Amino acid sequence: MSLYEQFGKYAPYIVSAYLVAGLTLGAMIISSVRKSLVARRRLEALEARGLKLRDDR
Amino acid sequence: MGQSMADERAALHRRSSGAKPHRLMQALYAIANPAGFTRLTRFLLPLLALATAIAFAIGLYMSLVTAPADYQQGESVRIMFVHVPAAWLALLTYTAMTASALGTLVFRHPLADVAQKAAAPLGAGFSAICLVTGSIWGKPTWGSWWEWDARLTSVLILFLIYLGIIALWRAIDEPGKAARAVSILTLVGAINIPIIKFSVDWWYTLHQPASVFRVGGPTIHPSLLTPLLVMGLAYLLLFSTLMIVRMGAELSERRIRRLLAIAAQDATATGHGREPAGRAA
Repeated sequence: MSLYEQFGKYAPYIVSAYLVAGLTLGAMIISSVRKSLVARRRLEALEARGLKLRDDR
Repeated sequence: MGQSMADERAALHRRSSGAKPHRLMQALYAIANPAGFTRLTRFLLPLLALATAIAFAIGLYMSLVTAPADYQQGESVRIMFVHVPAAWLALLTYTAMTASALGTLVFRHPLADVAQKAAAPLGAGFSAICLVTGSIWGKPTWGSWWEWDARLTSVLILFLIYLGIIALWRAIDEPGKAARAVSILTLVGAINIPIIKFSVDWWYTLHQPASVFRVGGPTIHPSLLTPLLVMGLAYLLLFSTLMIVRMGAELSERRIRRLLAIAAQDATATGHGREPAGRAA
């Protein structure tokens, strides 16, 4: 018997709740990684132009 | 760079308090500065990401396969395994933000406002999961998607506070001013945290009282408590991983702003025939 059948009348609610949690957590992961990659690429591009902060020299 | 900043802050502490900083404080200053943070997280991030994936795999297996149905709630108890940890993390994130707000306003710690800015969207995400999954659980259990119950309403207010904090960060361009304004709003909003926690004790609510973190220990059977705690750990590890990623991104963005400011200064200086100040030799 599949899990969905085992959950009986609650199956649609359980699937919906796990989908909502999964999609929201997934969106949080994607937006964080994307933000980090964009910032790193921009920083590398600026540093490649020879710009450095006084602390680095 | 990191060590010199740590020494500088330790000296500042010594000047302001008139005493030599404790060894623990010196160690904290050494780690808790942007350069020390970057070094530490480069090592920690892969480990945390791996631990998060493993905890979620085990937690989901236990929640959906091995956990038994509850004698009252039936199979709908499985929704608790994603709903309750989200509620815990929504509260924990706000508590961490309150500590960071104090760090910003009182101690002027260089990472405090970075942590606050990184945490707000995560807290909003956890609150949203808590509200929506709670609503999905409420329909088959209470017969209603939503009730203006003290616990539900106070969590909705927490979600709105998170949105307000995110909006305030975006509304003010200057990071220092934004950090101070957000810190004040965060401290004002902190009054909602004990209200959420104790709402089920102070008022007669439809929401059940605390059953895990309570005086006298948990009232949940171990067969349901274990998957709940494993999922709680998974959420906590995910929060830690994302905090590191977002704080790293925020530090990079601040560095970009400073570099762009130097580039603009250089352009102005070159235009006036002076020697450029910020460009590397």
